[in-house]
Amino acid sequence: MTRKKEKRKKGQPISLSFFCFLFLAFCLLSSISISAKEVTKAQRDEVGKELACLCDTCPRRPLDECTCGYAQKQQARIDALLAQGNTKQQVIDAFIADYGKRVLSKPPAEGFNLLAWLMPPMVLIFGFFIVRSVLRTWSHAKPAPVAATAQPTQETDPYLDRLEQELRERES
Amino acid sequence: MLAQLGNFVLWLALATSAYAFIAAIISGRTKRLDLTQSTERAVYATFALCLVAMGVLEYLFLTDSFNVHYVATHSSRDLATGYKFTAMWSGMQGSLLLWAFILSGFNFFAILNTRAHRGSLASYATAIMAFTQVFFLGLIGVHENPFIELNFTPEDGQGMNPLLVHPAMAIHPPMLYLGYVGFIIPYAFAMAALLSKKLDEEWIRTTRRWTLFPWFFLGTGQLLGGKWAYVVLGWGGYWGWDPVENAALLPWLTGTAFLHSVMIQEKKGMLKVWNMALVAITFTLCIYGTFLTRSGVVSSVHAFAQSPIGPWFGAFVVVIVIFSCILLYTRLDMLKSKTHYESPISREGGFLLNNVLFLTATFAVFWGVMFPVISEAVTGDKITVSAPYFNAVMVPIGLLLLLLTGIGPLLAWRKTSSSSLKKHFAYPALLGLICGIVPAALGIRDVYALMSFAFSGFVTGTIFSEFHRGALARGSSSGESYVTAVINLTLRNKRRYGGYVVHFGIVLLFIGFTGNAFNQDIEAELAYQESATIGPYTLTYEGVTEEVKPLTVDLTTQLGVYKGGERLGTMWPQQKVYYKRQDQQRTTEVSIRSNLREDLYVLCQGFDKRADGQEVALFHVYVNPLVIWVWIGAWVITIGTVITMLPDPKDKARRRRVVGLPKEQEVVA
Repeated sequence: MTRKKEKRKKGQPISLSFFCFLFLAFCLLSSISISAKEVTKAQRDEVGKELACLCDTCPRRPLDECTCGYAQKQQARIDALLAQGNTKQQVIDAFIADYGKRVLSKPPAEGFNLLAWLMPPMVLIFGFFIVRSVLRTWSHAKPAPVAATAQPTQETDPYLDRLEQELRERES
Repeated sequence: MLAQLGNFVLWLALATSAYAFIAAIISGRTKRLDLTQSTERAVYATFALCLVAMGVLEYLFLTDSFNVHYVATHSSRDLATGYKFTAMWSGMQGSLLLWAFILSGFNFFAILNTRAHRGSLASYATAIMAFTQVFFLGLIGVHENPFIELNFTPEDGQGMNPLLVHPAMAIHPPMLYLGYVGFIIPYAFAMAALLSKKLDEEWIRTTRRWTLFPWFFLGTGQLLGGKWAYVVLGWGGYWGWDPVENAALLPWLTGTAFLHSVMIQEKKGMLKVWNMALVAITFTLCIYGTFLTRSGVVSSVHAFAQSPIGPWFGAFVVVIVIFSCILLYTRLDMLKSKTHYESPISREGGFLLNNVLFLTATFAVFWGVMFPVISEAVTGDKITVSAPYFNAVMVPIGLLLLLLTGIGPLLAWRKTSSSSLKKHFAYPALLGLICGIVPAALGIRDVYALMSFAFSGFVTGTIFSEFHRGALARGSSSGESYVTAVINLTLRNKRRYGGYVVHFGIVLLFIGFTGNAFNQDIEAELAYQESATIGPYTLTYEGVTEEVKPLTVDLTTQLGVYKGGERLGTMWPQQKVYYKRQDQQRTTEVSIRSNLREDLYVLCQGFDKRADGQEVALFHVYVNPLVIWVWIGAWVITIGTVITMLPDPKDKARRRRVVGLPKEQEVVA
């Protein structure tokens, strides 16, 4: 009896520590399973396309495409950071912290670098305005007589004229 | 001794070209026949001397003359004879000499071509070309002389860069140089027309003809470079938006704009100032490209990156810009256009839109190349502008240009009626719609890809309808069979229908480019008889063989390719180890199985051991859809350009009529 009681008395703390141990083991295992999280190539490429290979031989190719030795090391680093549970943005931020913004494969759309993105469409719009104004000027200009400007070019080739005439007749 | 001869000949060529420059200016002003003839002889002599210099350097390479520094650093005894020949232009000095030689050749042929109508136009054009020749030969002589000898003769040379040991790389530089250098002729004739004030139709005709030639070679050179990148660099692509690739693209874009807008001038006598400006911009961009390639201003995959000649090229660009601007400004009155225009829905409107898009594309590429330099100068921070930026900016512009390729030819000069638009657009638009809807129904969701397929269908429809309508019209009037009518139609209007063939080639290029949107790739670490699967393919590793060659140890892996359980064949991706080089450089030799649908592209990245000691080979496998259409498109463009450039008897007669002068009449004896 006594021994049983003793066992019970002893058993109480043992079972408590056992549960604590189980709990800790669970936490540890789950943390291990987080750190060993499998990173797929698609996940790595999703981050890699935002980052440039900074070796001095590749033309700053994005890390998801580059196959050089330097890029492979950087891809492994992306894998490691993703496996630790970092998000895409956290991985990118880690690279920026180490290499600066030049590690980004394209200019960030902020501050002065916004100009990199704005200028091409602005030039296109400016071009359309120029064309519009040129066409307006032309339409207001006094038409020159055709005979005065007609040159014997291929476009006024008698053969082509005949061809166009044939086409018009067929289609009328 | 031979190196000294080469050096002497180089300086002599510099002297003759300097004489040609001065004599050409004087003969342009005085129209003295004796001086004109003397200039021509100086140009011939420069060509011959550059040929001798090239010949001497080639001989030094072929005979392993390692006492010459340039040969010792770019060749080796074991290099195959063919590559010893091409090693001549694998470095800075030799490539500049090749440039100078091609320039002298262009100058020579331009003189031969214009001898029938000597005069101030031809003389000033010669002067501009001779000045450029002086610049290049002077630079070679002073800074980049390939004939400098060492104090000793090494046992062997350092060898050629292994990445350049490839057939495509052997012809890629000469092709590009034919393009870059060739644009000197249109530029020289345009500026000469301004200098001589002979702004009639002759200069534009000469300029247009000579623009097509470098335009073709510059484009082909770029595609060859792409082919080399695809099979040698092993990253599964053919275009990386490298600054040097972009540098070659810039003059090609403006040259294309010129080839279109010049038609407005020929037909309507309009856009004279603009066409002059386009020619000047194109040549400036050619020299700017050389500046980029050889100055180290921007980082690039290309080997020429660091050189003291960069500032000289920068200065030359400034000289060209100032000279062209002043000349154009002082002749503005003479370039006033005759205007007869009715509607924006016309061929004129289409060409203007085409020019806006091409110039925007040029600006976008230029801006992307230079932005890292500008951003660093302004903010102090280095940034990167690489493929994702260029793809984001250039794809929409490219698609708009593709659409315009279909619309443009259907527009009539002056004004296009709405009934005509409906009639001519109906079937091509229907084809375009089908080409867009079918891939969408098959599950493709990439908007740009769907637009590209739809526009490609539309443009193909317009091109074929042009041929069809023309053949029917011709057949009904001449009784010819349909096929004969198509052939004769094309041969009678080489420029128009050759142009359509070029457009069709561009459509095929776009189809190839669109395939990029669906690329797949995997990395596989395979032990013997292990397999990896990508798309419908399964690849099984069947071992590796080792072969020792004079320059390399070739490690050739073998992979069995299966599809649906059926063996399709075998692929042999290689690693080559240049074991004689100090750095033991490795290159990859990709293995490609190509069909009209896709490329299966396998790269062996190396070998490793697993933790259990099992040996494995590391592979990168790509499935690249539609790539073959890029190369087919390149061939179609070649055929179209050849058709366009075929000599036209009518053109000769027309030139005689326009010039209206017998030989040498204009020149004072």
